[in-house]
Amino acid sequence: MRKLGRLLSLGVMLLAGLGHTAAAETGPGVEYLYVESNEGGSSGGHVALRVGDDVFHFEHRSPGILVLGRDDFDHFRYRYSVLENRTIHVSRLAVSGETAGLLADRFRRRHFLQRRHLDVIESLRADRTTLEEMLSHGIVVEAAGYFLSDHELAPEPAPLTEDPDLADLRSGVALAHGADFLERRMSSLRAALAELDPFAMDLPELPNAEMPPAPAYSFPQRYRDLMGALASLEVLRAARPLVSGSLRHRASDELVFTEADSLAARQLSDALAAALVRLVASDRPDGGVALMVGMARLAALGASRRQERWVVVDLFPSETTPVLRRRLAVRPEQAAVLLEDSSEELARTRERLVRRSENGSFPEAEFASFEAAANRSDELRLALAAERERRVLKIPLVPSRPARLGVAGLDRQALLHGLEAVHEREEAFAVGFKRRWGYNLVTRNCVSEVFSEIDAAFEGGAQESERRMGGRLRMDGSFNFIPAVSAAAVEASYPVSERLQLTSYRRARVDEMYRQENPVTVFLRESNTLTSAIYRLNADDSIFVFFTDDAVVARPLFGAVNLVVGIAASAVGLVALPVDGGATLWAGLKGALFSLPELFFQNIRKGSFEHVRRQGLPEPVTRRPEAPGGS
Amino acid sequence: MRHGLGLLAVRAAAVAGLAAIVVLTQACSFSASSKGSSNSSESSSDSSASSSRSSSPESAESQYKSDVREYTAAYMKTGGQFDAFRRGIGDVAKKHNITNWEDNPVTYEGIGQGLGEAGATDLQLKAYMDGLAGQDATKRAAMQKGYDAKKK
Repeated sequence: MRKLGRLLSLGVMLLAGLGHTAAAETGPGVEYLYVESNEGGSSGGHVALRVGDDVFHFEHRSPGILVLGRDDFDHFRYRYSVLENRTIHVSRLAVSGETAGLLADRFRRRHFLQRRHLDVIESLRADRTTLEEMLSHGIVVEAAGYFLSDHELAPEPAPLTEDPDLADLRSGVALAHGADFLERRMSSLRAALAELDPFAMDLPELPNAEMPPAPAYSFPQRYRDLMGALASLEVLRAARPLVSGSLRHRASDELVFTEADSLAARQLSDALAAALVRLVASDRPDGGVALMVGMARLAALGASRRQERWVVVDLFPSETTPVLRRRLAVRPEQAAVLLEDSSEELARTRERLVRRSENGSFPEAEFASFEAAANRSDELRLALAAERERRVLKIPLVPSRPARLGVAGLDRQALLHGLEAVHEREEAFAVGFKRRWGYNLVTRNCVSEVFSEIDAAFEGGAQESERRMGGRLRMDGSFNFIPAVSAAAVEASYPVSERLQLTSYRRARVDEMYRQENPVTVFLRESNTLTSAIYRLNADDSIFVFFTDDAVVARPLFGAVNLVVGIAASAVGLVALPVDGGATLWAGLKGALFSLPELFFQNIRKGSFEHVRRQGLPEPVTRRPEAPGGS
Repeated sequence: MRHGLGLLAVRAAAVAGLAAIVVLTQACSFSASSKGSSNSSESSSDSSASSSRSSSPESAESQYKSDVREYTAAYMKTGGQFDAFRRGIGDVAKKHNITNWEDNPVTYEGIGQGLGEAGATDLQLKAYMDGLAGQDATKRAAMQKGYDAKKK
């Protein structure tokens, strides 16, 4: 009987074990990622928690806040181990699928909660800007700049010529909704604009700590949206042609229509026009900008069909607007790689767009990807030809060139009162955010927040966390808040089933070279920035000569040389200060500073990359797991 | 000699201390070099990684749906004006490079999922269908599909 009982309990244990394994296999995997240091803002290292394909990591951002980022793993890896050239150490935690699911839920909720707060802060900032513009009798309407130039109070006269595609669209609207539809719609929008009460600001209310802010639709937003809707209907009524400079025409053969392109452009035009006819009649509050963007794209498609080559809307702001710029590659082979990548992206997005155009609806996301690829490619070529910096596109990749339209007849006192209220609410949200999620070097950083959220993922708090995770990392009174220390502590505190190492890009490439070439040649060539075949001078890096991350014994010697070079570069930078604005001085000082740890066998700086092709990246190197709990 | 060694040790400690300060105060941030391709405000200038999280069109679509779902589920808890909710959907869509969200069936599936996740009743689902999809059978079906997938 006892034997039978033992057998039964063994069977139960086996089944439980199988269940656990099955759950662990079906659920998302959980990994603790420690990212080694590099110079700049990352000299202390970084950590993240990967749950399935999502990587969650807390980033220290200005002004002293800790923001939870969520990336897919490929993107995270490319960003940290390739561009930033930092080795990632992965500790795979042995937890059940259910536990992993609870962790994913908690981190996603926290990510959403923070994002909503940041969105509201951003919208309050936009409201403040709008009220300031209104006080100076103008309002900036997004995407209106493709059809209207900046003007103050007087409306522009209707142009003599009409855009043929917009004229067709106008006819389509009249056919679907009635000949006087546009007039009726515009009258009702004007009436709605007149009825808006500037004393009723309808600002977002401050939320509770764990609740996202409720959506609000403020007076400045409503005013902006109504002005946008009115302006877009005015454009449609006059079938205004695009303002000069709104399109990107490339003279190369790359964008010339094939037979498939020609058919796709026709189908896209038809599908977009049909979608816009529906949109015109929609009562959605923010439809004006969507209509303006759609009309600009419709006009671009019309130009494409007439020229029999792809022509896209210019996504970059007009030349007078400040925009992020990136220095171009100094070496010709790097420029060639950039061009090749850009052409490949263009071909890939074009092929996808053509394929998706066959189903009769307008594939906006695919169209936006192609439009952005064409813009990037054109910008790169123009910048290379003119030997100037290239401009970088902002997210989202939606055509948004603004125009300033005139407003009048508003109660100035009400606007001033509203401006004060918006300012106060903006401050309150920012203070609340910092109080709740402010960064602290020791008590609230990227490490402490990961483990605090892990505990919070379970109803039973720390106790349940320890039971489910098989261990718990304590932060109080320890050095576990330091990323590198936390990585070792995780291995000691949790059951780690596997360890992986995603070697930094340069080291992986060097290892590959050692396998294929003469080791002495590889060492001599790749140990320094001057002759390296992998590393390319990156303007964001400090000035240094020797890489020390893979040279442990020679590190102090190399560090001494780097220190001397850094000091010498600083001296040169001092002389060049009036010419380069302090760029060389800063790079030299950073170079000297990050050489100091190298004198004591410590490495921080690894060099980084501005651009690396995603194709053909080295595979991660797997290390054998050590004994559980070992370090 | 001993004095010289002591001075050297003090200097070394000072250097190590300085290095430690540099290390500790700069943790958890990202370096300047990758900002251009990282997250919120800028796109990668060189690659197709224009969206911060996505690496394929399928994954971009599923992320859009997931963001709409989260936003809708949160709205069910916080409440607020319906036109503010619709305006917010427009903001979510724009982050995914979509302006005409009303014409995109993924939007309706995401809203349906959010309603299901928040425990909305069939009656509430119908009210949202009437308010957002009108009599459009495709949009209503997409909302129903999303709702059924996440209904508790």
